[in-house]
Amino acid sequence: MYVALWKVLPGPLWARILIVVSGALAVLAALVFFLFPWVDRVLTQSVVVAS
Amino acid sequence: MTEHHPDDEPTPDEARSKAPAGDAAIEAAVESIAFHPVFDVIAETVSADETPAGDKATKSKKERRAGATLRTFLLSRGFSRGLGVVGETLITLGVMVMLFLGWQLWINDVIITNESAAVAEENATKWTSSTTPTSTSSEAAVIDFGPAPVMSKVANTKVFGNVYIPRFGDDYIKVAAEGVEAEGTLNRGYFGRYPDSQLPGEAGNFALAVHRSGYGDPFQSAPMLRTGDLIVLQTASGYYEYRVRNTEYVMPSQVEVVNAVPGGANTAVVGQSVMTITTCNPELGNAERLITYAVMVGWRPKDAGPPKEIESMVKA
Repeated sequence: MYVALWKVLPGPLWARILIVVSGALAVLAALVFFLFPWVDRVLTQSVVVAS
Repeated sequence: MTEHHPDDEPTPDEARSKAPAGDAAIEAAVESIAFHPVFDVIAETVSADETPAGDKATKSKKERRAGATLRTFLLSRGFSRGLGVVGETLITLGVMVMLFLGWQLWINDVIITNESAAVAEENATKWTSSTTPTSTSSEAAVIDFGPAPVMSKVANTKVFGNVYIPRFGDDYIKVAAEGVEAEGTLNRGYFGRYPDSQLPGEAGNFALAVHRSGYGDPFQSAPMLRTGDLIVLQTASGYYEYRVRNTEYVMPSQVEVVNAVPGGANTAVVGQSVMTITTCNPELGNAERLITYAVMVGWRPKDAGPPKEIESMVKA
């Protein structure tokens, strides 16, 4: 999967590394700002007493 | 003596030496699985099920065909690619779970600690009287400031107070807000007031909920509290002083702990003002609730200054 992704990237090595790093950062940002807060809301621990 | 014999046939590894290292490694692994004796057993079982006993020729033919089909499938490029994709997806998901835990227990924890500390400090500045108390501290200790005024109810998620607990350290200042929904109060690391409970200064039970761990760990040290420990609620009008009475571990369904008489009737008894704090137990778990009960023992108006024990904690 990742080998195939690497193969389709254009340009010389430094350009590919640049693309991979910026792509990884974009994914990380999406996780931290959107996915993680959502998962956190879904999985939040209850601390109240309720019937 | 050398290990290399030029007249040997190239091994499968040598034949695939041009393929990327990752693919070769995966294929080698698949090959070792494909030629595992277990497939001979599978092949025998398959043929034994389908063939009448005694038909030796058919059996061995079927056996060979079943074994060959399995091997062809396991050795196919598609299967090894598919296996690679599945493996990489699982690794990616594993990394994402680790990142989430790091975010929730460490990064988000720090962010929420700082955010709620900023709100608490802002409150303390806003609610602390700039006038110096006229009485000396020894006199102040015996002054009765009369009955505590009933705090006016605020809208849902609105901040109404600061909570000081000297037992948890000089820097323990947390925010108290209205409502016990996760969003807006609890997940900001605040104490949240049960909307149906009584208000500070009112006869009955002033009930709060708070996260124990995560979200700034606002009540992580709950088991450290001892009978008689001070809990102060600072509001815009003054300081409500409570002393810890006892703690209790209950099931999450035991809603009677937030009744006007905790564990008893939901009718307030005149002259009895208590505080109930519910948090989760065990730490990081959710199976039970740890309940802390405190009794209101005093009240000081804003201009009288904070109680002596929290003087250094309240930033003027």
